[in-house]
Amino acid sequence: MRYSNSLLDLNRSYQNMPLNVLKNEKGYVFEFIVPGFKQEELNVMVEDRNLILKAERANEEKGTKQKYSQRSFGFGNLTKKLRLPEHVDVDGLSAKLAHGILKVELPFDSKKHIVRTISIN
Amino acid sequence: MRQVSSINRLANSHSLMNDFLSEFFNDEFKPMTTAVRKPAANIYQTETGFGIDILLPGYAKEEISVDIDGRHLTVKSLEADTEKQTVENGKYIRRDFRKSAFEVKYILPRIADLEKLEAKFENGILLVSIPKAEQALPKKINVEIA
Repeated sequence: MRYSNSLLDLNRSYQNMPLNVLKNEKGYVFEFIVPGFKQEELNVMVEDRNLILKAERANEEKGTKQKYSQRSFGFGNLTKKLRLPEHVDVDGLSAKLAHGILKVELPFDSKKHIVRTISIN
Repeated sequence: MRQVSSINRLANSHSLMNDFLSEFFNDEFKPMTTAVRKPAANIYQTETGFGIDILLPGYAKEEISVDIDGRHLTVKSLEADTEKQTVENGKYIRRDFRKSAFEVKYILPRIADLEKLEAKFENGILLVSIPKAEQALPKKINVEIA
C-alpha cells in the first residue's frame, strides 16, 4: 500500500471512497459520503497526524428476507484514513452529519500556518 | 414545480416542429437530452411488497420529488441547478462528488398496491416501499380433514 502524504493525494486505489476537500480562510473542510449511517455509528479521530473515519453499522440485518433484482450499493462498514498536513490544529476538529454527508472541519494552526506575501524588487 | 411529463408534452404539441420550438425556446420544457444522472439504487422484493432504495447523499427531503403517473414512478431532483447551494466560502482542492440534477423512472409491477406506496428519506437514502395488493399475497387455507 502506498502512503499518502498529502490531502491532495489522488491515488484512487488507496482513496477509493469519494472525498471532497475544501480550503477556506479558517482551514479545511472534508466531505465524506456516508449514506445510511446514523450519527452514533460514525467515529472520527486523529491518530499520529492521521485523520481516521470509521463507520460501523449497528445492526446489519434489515429484518425480513429480501430478494434483490438490482443491487448497486451495499451497507458495509467503512474506514478512511487521511494524512494531515503539519499546519492544522487537531484539537479544533469538529464534525457534522447532514443527509448522508459527514463534514469534518479542521482549522489551521495559527502558529504554523504562515501566509506571507513576498514583494518583488 | 414541473409536473408535466414528456408524454403530456408530446400530446399537447400540435406538430413535431412545435415540439421542437417549445423545447428550444421555453424554459419549462427542458429537452430530454439534459445530462441527468441516474442515482444508484437497490431494488428488492419481500414476501409482502417491493422496495426501492435510492442513494441520494447531500439532498434534503424538500429537494426530491416522488410522483406516480399510472404505474410509472418518477423520482427526481427539484432544483435543476444545485451547484449554487454547495458552494461555500473557500475553494475545493479535491472534488470527487457533487450534487447534480437526477431523474430516475421505474415501471411498477401490476401486483403492487400503488395507493399504499410510501417514501421515507433517511440519512441520504430514499426508501420507497410498495406493498403487494392483497389478492397477490399467498393465501393459506387450512383444510379440515373429515
